[in-house]
Amino acid sequence: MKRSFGQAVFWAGLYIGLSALPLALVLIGPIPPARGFWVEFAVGLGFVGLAMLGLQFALTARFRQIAAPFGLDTMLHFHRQAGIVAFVFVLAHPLLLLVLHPFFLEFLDPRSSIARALALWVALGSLVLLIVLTLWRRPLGIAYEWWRATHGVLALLVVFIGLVHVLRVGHYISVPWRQAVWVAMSGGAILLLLYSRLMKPLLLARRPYRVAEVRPERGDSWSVALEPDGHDGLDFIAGQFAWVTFGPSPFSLEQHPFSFSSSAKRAGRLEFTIKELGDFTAAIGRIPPGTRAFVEGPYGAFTLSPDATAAVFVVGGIGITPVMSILRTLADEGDRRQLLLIYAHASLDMMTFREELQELSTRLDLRIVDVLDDPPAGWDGESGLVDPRLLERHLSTLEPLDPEYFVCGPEPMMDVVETHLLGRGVRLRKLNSERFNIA
Amino acid sequence: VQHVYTRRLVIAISGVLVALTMLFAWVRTL
Repeated sequence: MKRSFGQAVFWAGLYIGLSALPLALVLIGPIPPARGFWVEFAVGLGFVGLAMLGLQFALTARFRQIAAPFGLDTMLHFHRQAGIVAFVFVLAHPLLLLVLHPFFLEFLDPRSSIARALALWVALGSLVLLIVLTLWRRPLGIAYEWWRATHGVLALLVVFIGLVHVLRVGHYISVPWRQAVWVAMSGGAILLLLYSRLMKPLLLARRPYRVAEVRPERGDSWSVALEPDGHDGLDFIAGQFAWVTFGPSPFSLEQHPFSFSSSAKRAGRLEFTIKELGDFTAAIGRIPPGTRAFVEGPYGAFTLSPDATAAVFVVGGIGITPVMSILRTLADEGDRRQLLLIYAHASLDMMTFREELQELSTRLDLRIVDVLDDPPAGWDGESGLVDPRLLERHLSTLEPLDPEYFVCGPEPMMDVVETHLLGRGVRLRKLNSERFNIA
Repeated sequence: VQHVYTRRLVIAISGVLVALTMLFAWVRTL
């Protein structure tokens, strides 16, 4: 399924509707006297900010149906951006009130109520910590699994205190049915967290996999093959990815997104090709065969439409993995569409899947353009960075076919390629891109 | 680029939500 403008409008509208729902609730039924425009505005921002924080749980619950048209990486990017906006709204709520009426300082003053002041300071502190740890996780040197654990706990704390605050202040929420709606909405958010952190691992536990093979690939990478243990595995569309956990427990916080690199036509055996990058991936090559693994997915919209007339893949380094899955699948299907692969890598020795790509180019109508960072003496192919001039040299042959484009690689390369493609009139729905910095 | 669109979407949604909150505050003062 591919994204459409209509779907985007529908989900954006639903998001706005749910975020603004608390304001609508206030206006239904008996209303206390107004307290001036800016006080009401500040209170409204608090309501909307808290509702947005609640919706954050839905955005990361990885519902496949919602994520399908846009891709999960886009959903998580939305989660990140919306989180910052919710933070600004929630923070603006006390700041505006304090500027308008110093009387509101009483809420944060432990001398008037130690429990209330403590709770609100904890909520504000947690929110600031949540943002700081997320935006600066890498510079602060915090491991992914620790960040993930604290992120859930802090988020839960903020929403819970937020709810208690709304109920205790009670200005708008004194009517029982309104209280019930608030408790239900917050309960929903907490259920979503329980679903993704508790229910999903329990479901995964019933469908374990085991590592069948770990083999080295060119370019400091490893292909890990998984076979289902007592079930029939999962079906995916070539180009998608899954969240994978290695080890005995599906509750491990070390759950990472990896693209399938194997053919979607061989669902009995899933392969992921992983480059040695961080602490976790550096140890991939040492995973012993027989190790238990859990696969949550598939996710992602980096997939070739059945009705596409041709395809262009612009790939850098390990970004080849989802494209490899697409090419292997097309070869298994005997596909005869025109394909162009522009593949940037450090050197021929570091070119992951070098031999198999050569073989695939004989089974498919596939032309491969190697772009070497470090070309050997006498190399007469492309070298250096993938830039607009390089693209122009190779795209013109396929252009009349109105191909679908796939871009996957380092951020700077993706920015250049995407900007250039859109600039030359490629429609957004024909442009698929996958970024891996989602976690 | 899709992320640029995501960011623009979030900015647009935030604008709508601020406007709705202002509308709410204005309705309350009526």
